[in-house]
Amino acid sequence: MKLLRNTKACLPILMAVALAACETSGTAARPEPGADPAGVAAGTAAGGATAAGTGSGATASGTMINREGPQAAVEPGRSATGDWIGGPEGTLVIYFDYDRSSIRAEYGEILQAHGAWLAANQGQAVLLQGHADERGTPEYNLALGSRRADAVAQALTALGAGSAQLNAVSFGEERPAAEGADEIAWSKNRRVELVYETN
Amino acid sequence: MKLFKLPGEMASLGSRVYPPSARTRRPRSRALCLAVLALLPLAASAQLDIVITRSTQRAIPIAVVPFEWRVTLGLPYDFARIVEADLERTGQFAPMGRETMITRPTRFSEMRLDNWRIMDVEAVLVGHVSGSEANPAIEFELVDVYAGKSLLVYRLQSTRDAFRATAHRIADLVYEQLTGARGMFSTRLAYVQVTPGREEFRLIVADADGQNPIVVLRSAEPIMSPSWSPDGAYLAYVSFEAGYAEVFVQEVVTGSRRPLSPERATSSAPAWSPDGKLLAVARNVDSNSDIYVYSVDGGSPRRLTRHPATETEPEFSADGDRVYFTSDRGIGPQVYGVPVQGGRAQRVSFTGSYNARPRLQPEGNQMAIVHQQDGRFRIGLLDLRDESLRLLTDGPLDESPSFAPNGRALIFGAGTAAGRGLGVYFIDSGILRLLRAPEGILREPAWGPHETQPNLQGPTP
Repeated sequence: MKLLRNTKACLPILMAVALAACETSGTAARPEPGADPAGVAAGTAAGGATAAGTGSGATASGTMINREGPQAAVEPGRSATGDWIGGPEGTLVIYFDYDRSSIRAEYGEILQAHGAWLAANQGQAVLLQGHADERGTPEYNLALGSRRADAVAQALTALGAGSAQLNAVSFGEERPAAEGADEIAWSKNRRVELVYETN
Repeated sequence: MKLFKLPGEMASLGSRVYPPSARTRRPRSRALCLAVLALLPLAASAQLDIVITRSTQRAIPIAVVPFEWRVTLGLPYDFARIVEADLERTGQFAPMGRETMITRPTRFSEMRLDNWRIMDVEAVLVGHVSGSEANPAIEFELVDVYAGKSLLVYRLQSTRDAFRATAHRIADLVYEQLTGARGMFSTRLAYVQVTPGREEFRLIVADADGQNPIVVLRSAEPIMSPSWSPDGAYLAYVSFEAGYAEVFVQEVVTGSRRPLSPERATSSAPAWSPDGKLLAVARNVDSNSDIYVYSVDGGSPRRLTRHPATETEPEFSADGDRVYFTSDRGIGPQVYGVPVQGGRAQRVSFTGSYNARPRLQPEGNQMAIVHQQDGRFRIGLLDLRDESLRLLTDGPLDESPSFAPNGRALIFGAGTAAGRGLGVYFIDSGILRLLRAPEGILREPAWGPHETQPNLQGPTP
């Protein structure tokens, strides 16, 4: 996989692939979970007694969590400055079967490429975000997303990546790539996204 | 709000029997002693309250007469309307329309019972509001029309900002008198609202009828699994604000909050022990999710399950001796139970290939679960005595059941063809209501405990 050492040369191709990936992953404008822990501004919540009356608006002040400081990469495989750091081959989303965390054979070559690239770029880290579709209970799906992210991490480790380069997290069913209550949407949501981080 | 029975009225009403205590009373009127019911209203704030199914059970015909406003100053407040709405919402009561009331008495002694018998009304609630505007007294009386006697007489001191709560308290007392089950109108709900585009996640606390929603936490990252402490003072929940799932504990009134674990470890699905001292959570350690128990005060967690399969969704038994949880160690997820001190896990659910997220019925023998069959996720009641399963909802994507503290209703995340909202199912009437947000989706509801009622200690001397 040395051919991809110079990622700049491959930029046009990778950009195209990355765009395609973004279409299905729909991650464009979301804050990066890999960012620093959010600054938490405590506020006064729910002064115990709620006023009688209509109270229709959910406008009372609450504890507000703000993301402060510089935003991290907003696209998988792309740094904050827009540089492609997504490793080889461009595929950044691994899809799964329903209620499964086993990696389909079709992703073997792609993971091989990522594993080798990570082995050759020890300074690079990748965040593995596991997701589930909306079917099943939210808590169970959180665990399912973990299993998927961990499965990808184990595969990459076996293919040469160092464990320090891999950070697996699960978002369960909370961050779907596609909205909708049908198999078309669900199949896009059962996934692990590889998010390359700037080091 | 002060709430006490009316000793003075007791004398004036002669030999009428007063319930000895609001807690231990049983329905005593034969005419009114119908099926046991349950209740609770999920009304709509700006939200829409849709009745999905109608009750097939007979509802108690009741007249809630508008309370006379005798306070010289101040805008009249319609207590009766709120009481009526609370009762009606359960499907266990059929309130009579105001326009058909021939008279509007304010106390039992003014009533001509024949007038009400003609209307086939079995119970009548009458009352009036008097005293100063700053601290008015609400006196009310519940009358059994057929037995010809007064069942309840109370006076409540209240203030304007507590009028609504006072009305819910009145509904609680009427409900308990007529059904034998403690009322649940004075309780609160917690749930998660997700705005369109999932741009903001809000943890909301609202009254049991869906009114007065208050945002107690906002975040750009997901919020999950709210869980009330047994005293209702704290909420535990999962926040992704640090980039991963982590359990936080927040004091509801002040909003002060902290992560459960000082080590900031990944954790999820918090569940309180009945004494409020322990929190069971799922932790993912070395690619394996198991159940751990934390002291709420901090310290290191104790591992409760040890299995390579996924264990999550813990729930304490009422006596605190066992922890139920979901595990997919068999074929598909099923519910298991394990002694809280550790030991061998025993399977609890056996019907079908998918039973998850157990929640125990307070004062009952049922366990609410999510049951999946043929791709439909439905809320079911599992009887722990005979293992029978009764499905309550149709799905197809129902989840997150949570019992009202009296065990007579449950709220859940309803995934219907029409979209996601909160469903409220009343066990005794079989009625199902749906609460939806004007925008975004509502999910993961948790029904809070009975409010502590220091002023409901019985008659004043």
